[in-house]
Parts: sequence; structure tokens; C-alpha cells
Amino acid sequence: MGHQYKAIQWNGNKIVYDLYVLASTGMFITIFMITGLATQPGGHPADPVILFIRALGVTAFALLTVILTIGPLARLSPRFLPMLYNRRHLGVTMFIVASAHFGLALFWYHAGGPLNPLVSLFVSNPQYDSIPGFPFESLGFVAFLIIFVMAATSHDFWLNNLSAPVWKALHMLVYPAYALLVMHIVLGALMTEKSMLYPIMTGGAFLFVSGLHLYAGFGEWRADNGMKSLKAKGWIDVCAPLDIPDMRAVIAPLPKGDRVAVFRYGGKISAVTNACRHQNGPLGEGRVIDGCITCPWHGWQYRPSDGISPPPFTEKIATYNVKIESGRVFVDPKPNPPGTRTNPALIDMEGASL
Amino acid sequence: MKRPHRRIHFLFWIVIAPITALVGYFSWQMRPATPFTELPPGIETISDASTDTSESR
Ligand code: FES
Repeated sequence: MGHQYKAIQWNGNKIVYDLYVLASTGMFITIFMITGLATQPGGHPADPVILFIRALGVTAFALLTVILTIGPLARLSPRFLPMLYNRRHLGVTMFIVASAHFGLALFWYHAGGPLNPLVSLFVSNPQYDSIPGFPFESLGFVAFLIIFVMAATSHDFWLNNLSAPVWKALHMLVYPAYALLVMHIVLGALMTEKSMLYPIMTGGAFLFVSGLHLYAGFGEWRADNGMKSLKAKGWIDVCAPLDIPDMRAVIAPLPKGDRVAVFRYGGKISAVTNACRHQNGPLGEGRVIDGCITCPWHGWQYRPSDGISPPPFTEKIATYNVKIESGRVFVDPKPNPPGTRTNPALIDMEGASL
Repeated sequence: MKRPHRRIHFLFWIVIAPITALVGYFSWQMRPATPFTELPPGIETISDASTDTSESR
């Protein structure tokens, strides 16, 4: 399916979504500027350029905070899945705003001297052994570098060339980058701010993001371990048929730490592995579009009953046998070889097996 | 198929969250009592004032 397959065809609303993101970002920056100029923080008129630099920084941090909450929120509730489909665009917007913040700050504070601005950023304030005087810009720069590498390699070309594990490891660096940004703010803006608004917002954002990740991660860890310790040999009781939203899936842990995505499409239920053939994307967080399970990450598709990509593509994923008994959906934990046709379990409108 | 990296995400946060929270909080506690934004006027203003003799003439 690989190289010609580009579409992530979730919705025709993608442009509307992008416009909405751009409008919100612009509005956020404008409101920040107007409020800053009107309230005169520090008791004297704010320098509009410095205020703009800060507005861009705050906006980029807020966008990254939102981006980092999307993953765990989507795992906790399918209501947030539409945000997952558009996360990449949010990431690009964040990168553009962060670049503007970095570029303007570098120009404003470091371009006037004899030193190269990038060198000046690291050496103009050598108080690396002080907390209140720490050159917080260096932390922001390292975080920006990470975000830059992520943005530069976000295209599928790099995904294919770097191999999935390397690419994923690279993109997991966004977490240390976020921690560095928190410290960039703490050692920078918060050292000079008397208002409690900034510390509360920064601390709140970080606690919210980390709390969500820990909560969602702990839940999955427990579920996986629970299944492992069960050493279940028989069929797995997943849920009631109508607990699965139409055209979507419920993800169930299996023994040995695997996961199965159980899809309902109309009156049928089929199960496939939760890992996409492309880059292990979470198929169970995708939807059935045009009769095919569609991966939320880059839109690869598979037929629910046999796990084969629609022609002309030939990718195959493992399927699982499904049955409905006593109003419950059961999955055989033993995967079928990739591309094996299975019989979908049939349900009636009340959710009972036919 | 497994998606083992989900566990790595979780481990990442177990390490990062407490370290950042603690370091961030204690660093913030050490902020200067008088923020730079509330320091007296800048050096240029002071030196301008000290060399400005127009009023005494
Ligand atoms: S389409 Fe890329 S991971 Fe599924």
C-alpha cells in the first residue's frame, strides 16, 4: 500500500478543522497581546515586541499541551478520536508558532552583538550554576531542536526510511521536550512574574498532561497484566455487541500482551489485530470507512472479515474468530494467519446474537 | 501483534513527571523576591538623568 497511498480520508471537514485551528491560534495570540498591552504587567507599558515573543511562546506551549493530551484522551474515550485524526496538523501549527517564537527571540535578544546569535544564546549568560539566573533560553533551544527534528521527519518518507522503531523512538522525544519547555518557562518567565496566573497555568498544564498519560498508561498496563496472569486458554469475553459504537471498535487485551480490535459495522462484528501493518498504528482507534477498517494514523485500510487491504493493495493483517453467546461478544485469543477469512458474528438491533 | 512502545510511553512519564514536577517546583521557590520587571528604572534612564543638567540651569 505504501508509497502512493497518501490520503487520510476521515472527513471532508479537514480544511474546516485547519481553518478552525488557525483562527483559534490567531485569536489566542491577539487576545494575549491586547490583554498584555491593556493591563501593563509590571506597572509600566509592556514592550510590544517582547509581549509578542511571549505570546508566541505561550501559544506554542498551549498547542503542545493540547497535542499531548489527545493520545491518552482518545484511549480513555472514543469521543476524542476525531482530534487524533487531525493531530498532525496541530503539530505543524505548533511548530510554526514555536519557530516564530524562537526566531524572533533570537533576533531580538542576540542578533545585535558581535557573536553569532546561536553562540550568543549559549554564552551571553554563563550562569549555568544559578537557578534564578539560569540561561533558560538554552533549554528552550534544545526543546525546539527536538521539535524541529520531529517536524522535519513527520512525513511518511522518513517513516519508511528510518524504520518504525527508530522513528517512534525519535518522536517519543517530544516528552522530554515538553519537560524542557516547562523548565524553560519556570526558569524564564516565572522568575520575573509576580502574578500567580503563569505558575498556576504552567503547573496545571503539566500536571494535567502527565496525569492523563499516567492514568491511561496505568489502566492499560493493568489490563495487559491482568490478561497475562489469567493465562486464559478459552475465548475472551470482550463486551456486549452494542457496547461497540457502530463503525468503530473496542480494543481488548489478550494473553501474552497482544491486543485485538473488535469492530462493529452495522449488524456484523469482526476482529483483527490492533496493530496496523504500516507502522503499528492502533487500528482499534480507527473507523470503518467504505466497508474497510481505516487506520487513524495514515489511512491504510483492511477488510474486516479477512484483514486484506482492498485492491490494488495487498497488505494483510491477522484476523481473530468471533462469536456472540448469551448477549456477549467472545474472541478466540489465537490469531489466524494474516489474511484469513473469518465469519463475522451477526447481531440484531437489540444486540442479541442471530 | 503487540504495540510494546505503549509501555515505554508509560515508563517515560513515570520518570519524567515526578522529576519535572519536583525540579520545577523547587526552582520556582528560588525565584528572586523582586522580579526584574519591578526593579528600578534601567541604567540608561539613570545615567540620562544624572547627566541631564537642564533643570539646574
Ligand atoms: S496507516 Fe500508518 S500506522 Fe496505520
